[in-house]
Amino acid sequence: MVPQINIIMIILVGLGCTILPIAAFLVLRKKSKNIAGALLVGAISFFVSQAVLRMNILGFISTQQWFLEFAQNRFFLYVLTVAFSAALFETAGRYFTMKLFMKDTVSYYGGISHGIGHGGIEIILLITLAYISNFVISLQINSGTFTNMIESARQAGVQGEAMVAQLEAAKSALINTPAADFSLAFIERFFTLFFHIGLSLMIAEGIVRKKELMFTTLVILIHTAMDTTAPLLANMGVNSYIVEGVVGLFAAGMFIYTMTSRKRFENANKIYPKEKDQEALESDY
Amino acid sequence: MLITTVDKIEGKKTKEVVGYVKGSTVRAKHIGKDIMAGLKTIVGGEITEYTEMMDESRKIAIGRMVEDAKSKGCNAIVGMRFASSAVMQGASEFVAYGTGVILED
Repeated sequence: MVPQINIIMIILVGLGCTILPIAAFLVLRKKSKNIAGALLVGAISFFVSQAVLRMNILGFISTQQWFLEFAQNRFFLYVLTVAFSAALFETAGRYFTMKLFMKDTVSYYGGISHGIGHGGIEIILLITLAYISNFVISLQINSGTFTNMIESARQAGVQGEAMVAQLEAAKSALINTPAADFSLAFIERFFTLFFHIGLSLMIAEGIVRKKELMFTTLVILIHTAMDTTAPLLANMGVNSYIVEGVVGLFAAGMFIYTMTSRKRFENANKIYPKEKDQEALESDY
Repeated sequence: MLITTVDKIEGKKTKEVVGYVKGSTVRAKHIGKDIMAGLKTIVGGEITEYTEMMDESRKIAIGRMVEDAKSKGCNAIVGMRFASSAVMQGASEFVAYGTGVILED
């Protein structure tokens, strides 16, 4: 039986993670009205770069023998490679979607909204869908239908062996995971939302201040650093709450950056507006 | 916006002298044009690539000076001057400056 407290935590975390980006967007909308488009662009950025491109490429490579050996024998390099690929794809997604779809609307609030869209769709794809699945499986375990499913797979013989192992692992995880551990998903997503907002804002600042190469490189480095640190610490057996604390430090850094970068956006627009230079070029000066 | 190189405009009364207004830019052409310009120095004649670059620089510098004057509430710039220098190989700085004033209508 899945304890009742676990089911309650699954519902709370699932709902909390879904509401989080929506609430962030509504708070931002009070500051600036014209940001819905940027939210959508941010969501497209994650969906195309991660869900469509990177996950499929990684899924294919993960079936190759040389990659499996690489992952086993060179764990640090493997984590670094996977982290770098995530940083590269997501940063390219952020940059190109802003350049293609936002153009003149790249701004301070536009950048934040893009980050909420990017992080928000990640939360929905990774957490909300997984927690809906966890909730349904928990109900199935408690009603006995899940055990019947495992039995059916077992009767399929050799073909069903892998599925039996997967179903048993899922059942065991839902029953034995302490209720408080489910909240880790919410804590992590809370932090990563701020992290994504900061990264999108850095790309936006690069575009606005015409320092695209510098900011894009910086975003790739910061993203790679975070995606490398957390799995390495977890692999070293460091307590999960401490690992989340480290993720929190990255998020805090990005939060401070977000709060302090507004002035630079305003100044960049004030000093040399592009359209004014164009007007001057077309004049008789 | 009236822009003039003289210090006083005949027939117009200056209501207020706002002060120094300026605009500047540093521009370069892409490497292809730099190479073409280098080749033209062998045969002589006008180096149109750099003429174009300086034209653009002048216009942008004046445009930025005008914006500076507008932001300070001026409706004319008197005693306007230009200055230019090469900040590096193939890149020039162009500065337009003058005195922003408010003329009576």
